[in-house]
Formats: sequence, structure tokens, C-alpha cells
Amino acid sequence: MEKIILLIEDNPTDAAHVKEALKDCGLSYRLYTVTNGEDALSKLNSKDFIRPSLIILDLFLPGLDGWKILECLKSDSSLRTIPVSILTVSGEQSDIIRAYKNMANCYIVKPPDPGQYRDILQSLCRFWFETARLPEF
Amino acid sequence: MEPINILLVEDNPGDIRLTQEALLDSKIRNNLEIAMDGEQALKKLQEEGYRPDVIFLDLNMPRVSGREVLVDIKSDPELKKIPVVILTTSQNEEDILHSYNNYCNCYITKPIDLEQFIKLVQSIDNFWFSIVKLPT
Repeated sequence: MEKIILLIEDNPTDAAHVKEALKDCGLSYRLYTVTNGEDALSKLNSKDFIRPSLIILDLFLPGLDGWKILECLKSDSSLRTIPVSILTVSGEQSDIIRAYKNMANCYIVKPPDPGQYRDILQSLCRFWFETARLPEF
Repeated sequence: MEPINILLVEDNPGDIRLTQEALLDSKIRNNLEIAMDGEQALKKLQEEGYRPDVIFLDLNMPRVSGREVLVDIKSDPELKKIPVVILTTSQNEEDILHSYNNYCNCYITKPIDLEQFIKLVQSIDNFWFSIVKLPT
């Protein structure tokens, strides 16, 4: 079954790296990208939008930032079961701890070398879609 | 690099042995501590200075179940940062939903086949220890 991935990322270069990294990975998925928190929440709350199987969330976004989105997602009884993977430039332990305390499902640091996106993103999606069990809706 | 400290909460000796074997081949150095039920796990987690980097938690155990352990961990302000990987034989949709609703970090079902079990632990190892950043 085709999985839906929602990428919340304001940086077009990083979004392009993610898109490129998941090309030809052999997984059946559809990737939606939104560039800010407001659009992410309105999409997730829209009746017409199909519930994603995985959310990939940047932390530093204009307006409603990744922290606020994470809080909204994990305090919403209908959205909190969707796994949220943080994908950010910050490797600071304080951010890592804060994200896990706010119930991020996992935390990944963006690689400095764009060539590494492929390995990281494909491992992420393979783990969530092939190894882990997700709730059915 | 410091070794990764794992707390395995599991009552089945066969599954404990297999997990130990699979982790021996890990590229990442690790220390595996075992708690044979939920009560032991919670007691260990109350020990001063003991903070595993990640917890592998079975659901069906005597005395205190994994469901209760998960709720306790994720409602404790200090412990909730520790990623909890549910590792269970239960394919029950209610268990999956209950676990994600109570903030498990991921839910994985154990295969019966030994070779597949080893492969599964290796894929958890590869993702959680090489790709993901853990809180330390």
C-alpha cells in the first residue's frame, strides 16, 4: 500500500535533497512538502488530506516553528500516533533531549554532505515502513 | 565513542539470548542490561545514576506489563526522553494503537523465525544506533 510522507521543511535545497534521496528507493510512497507550520497543521486537519504514515519535521521554520508543531501534533489525540522524525541541522544535545521530551519519535541530524541524504532517508523510510508496525487507519 | 547502554525488558530467556547474540555483531559498542519483568525495569530506572540510552520493551510480562512500564516512563519528566522501542509478539491493533497513544518511539513485532529475529535486531541496531541521534 502506498505510504504518505509529509515533509515540513522551509529550505528548498534541503527539501530537494530529501526528494532526490527517496527516488528509486523501491518503496511505494507519496511525498508532500509544506514549507511552514501553519500549512502543515491546516493540511493535517483538512478532511481532504490523507493521513500521513510518517512526518519528517525540520525544527527551524519561520512563524510556527518545529517545536510548536511537535507540541501540537503530540497533544492532539487523533494526530499523536503518527510517527514524527525530526530532521534538522542541530546536533546539540539540548535540542535532542528537548525533542524526545516533547515526544518526537526519532531525531536525525541533516548530513553536511548532500550525498549522505540518500542513505539516511532511505534507512528512515525502510525502518518505518518495513521494520516498524504503524497503526492502521 | 561511548558504548550505547540498552535496557532490554523481556521475560523470555530465548528472546534475551537471541537479542544478546544479534547485538554482539553490532558495529556500535553496546552494553545490554536485562530486566526480566516490568517491576524489575521500573526498579532499575529508579536507581540513581542509571540512565539507559534506549529501552527495548516487551509488552506481555508477569507482574507489571510493558504497557504499564511505557505509561510510567513517558509520564516521568526525567525518564520520558529515553526512546522506548516496543518489541513484542503481539500483532494486536489495539496494542499498536495503545503504544503509540502512550508515546512509544516505535512498535516492532518479533518474528518467530530465528534468522529473521536476528535480522530484525540488526535493523533496529542500524537505525537507532547509526542513523538516529539518541539523548545522552
